[in-house]
Amino acid sequence: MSFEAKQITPEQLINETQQMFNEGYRFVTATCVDEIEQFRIIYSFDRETELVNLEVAIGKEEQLPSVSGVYLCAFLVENEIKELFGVNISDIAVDLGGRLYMIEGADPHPMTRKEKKKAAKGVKKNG
Amino acid sequence: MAKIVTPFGPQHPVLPEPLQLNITYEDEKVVSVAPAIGYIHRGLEKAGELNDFPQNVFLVERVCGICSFMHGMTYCEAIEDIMGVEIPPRAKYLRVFYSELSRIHSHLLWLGLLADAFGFESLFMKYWAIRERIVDLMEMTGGHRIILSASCIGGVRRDLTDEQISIIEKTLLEVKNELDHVTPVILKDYTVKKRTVGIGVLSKEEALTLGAVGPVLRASGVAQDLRQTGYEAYGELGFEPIVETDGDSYARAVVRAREVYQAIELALEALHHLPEGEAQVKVKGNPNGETIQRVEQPRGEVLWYVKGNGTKNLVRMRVRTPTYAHIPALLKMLPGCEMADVPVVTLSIDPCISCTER
Repeated sequence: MSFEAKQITPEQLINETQQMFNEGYRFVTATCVDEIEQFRIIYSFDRETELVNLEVAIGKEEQLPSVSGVYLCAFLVENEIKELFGVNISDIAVDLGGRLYMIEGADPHPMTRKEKKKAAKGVKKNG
Repeated sequence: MAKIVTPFGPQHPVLPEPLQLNITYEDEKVVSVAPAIGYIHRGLEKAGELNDFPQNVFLVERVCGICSFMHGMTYCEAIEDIMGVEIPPRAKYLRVFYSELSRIHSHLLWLGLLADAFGFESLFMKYWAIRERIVDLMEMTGGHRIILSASCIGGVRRDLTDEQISIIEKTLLEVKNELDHVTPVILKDYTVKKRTVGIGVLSKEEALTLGAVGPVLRASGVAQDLRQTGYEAYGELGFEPIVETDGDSYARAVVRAREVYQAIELALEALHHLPEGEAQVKVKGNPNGETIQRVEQPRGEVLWYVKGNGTKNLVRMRVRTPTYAHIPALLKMLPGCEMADVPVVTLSIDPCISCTER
């Protein structure tokens, strides 16, 4: 399976990203995965078609620094993750304030997952 | 000089899809640009978690009409990677053929749109007339003129007959001959150069730091194309990326014009070396694991992330499309341009907002 990621902490994120920048990597994207109890954010970088991933796991209420200070182009995907998942990303270079896709009054953070509830045994359906 | 702000889009003659750029001008010169998207966000990634994973092939083909086959193929590659499925050699070559057919179709569409953007209507119609020949091939092979639905998990579900291959080879050679009459106009015509040379320049360093991909990256002098990694059968066909160095709208047009010829050659090579045998294998079970797959679409690199947990539903399905990567680069290209250049520069990234918003 072709997925490998270096595990880092939120505190290491900016330094690790700066190192990727200094080594000439192109920022590809960031991918947020809602693991119910926490978020995993996978940052992908490319250099001459070699893909390198950094992975950060954070609690749902924790704050994550923005990497847009290093790679300005990350502002778009960080706005998306903040808006659709509710990840608390701070200091995004261009913060669109939750209005990248969603309109005012829409249900917030539609990409979050909820634990599926199992139906209780022996419960009769109405009708 | 007083500054004025005017909206470009979301409805504009050069934009087939809604993108808004709020542009600040000083006189007629662009000073700054603020993008606004969100007009056609469809929540396709969330839908991918609700469908069964085999049904998603048809869903992801609708992320983008032009790149439909390649979205489906990349998604299938991701599932195959997680499940450890090895597809037959014939399927790999067929995937190359369908991918290059998509590239020819996409680039011809774009070259026509570029001509239309600066009012060269006869060139626009010429390119689209040639493109019709490719769309006919798509209908003959995939069963549909635009949504090219041929990939499946385990290979390709639209195999080609000898008769179809013969028609395709004949048509592609005719298309190549027709292009020989039209391409010199894009490459040499005074009017085309006047509207594109030195307009919307993106340097090599800017292209890399702003995350540009595909023809935009290659037009700025970066020799990078994911086909170099040899996925599917590209490693057996021989491939070198097409590169220009000026980084302007003209260079981006030249890269695409030359890539059409290259795509025709690759499609013909794939058919010429098409192995005998089955085009797909049966796949049983559900994906359990995660992966990232990337391929080179006509507009550039696309990235698919897929995670399954052993059930028929995926935990997460994510796509980063080329236009998404080009929005920051576009914001760099526009300042300093004249108002009349905004449509041409915007079009030069080959924007697909349907892809971008998903």
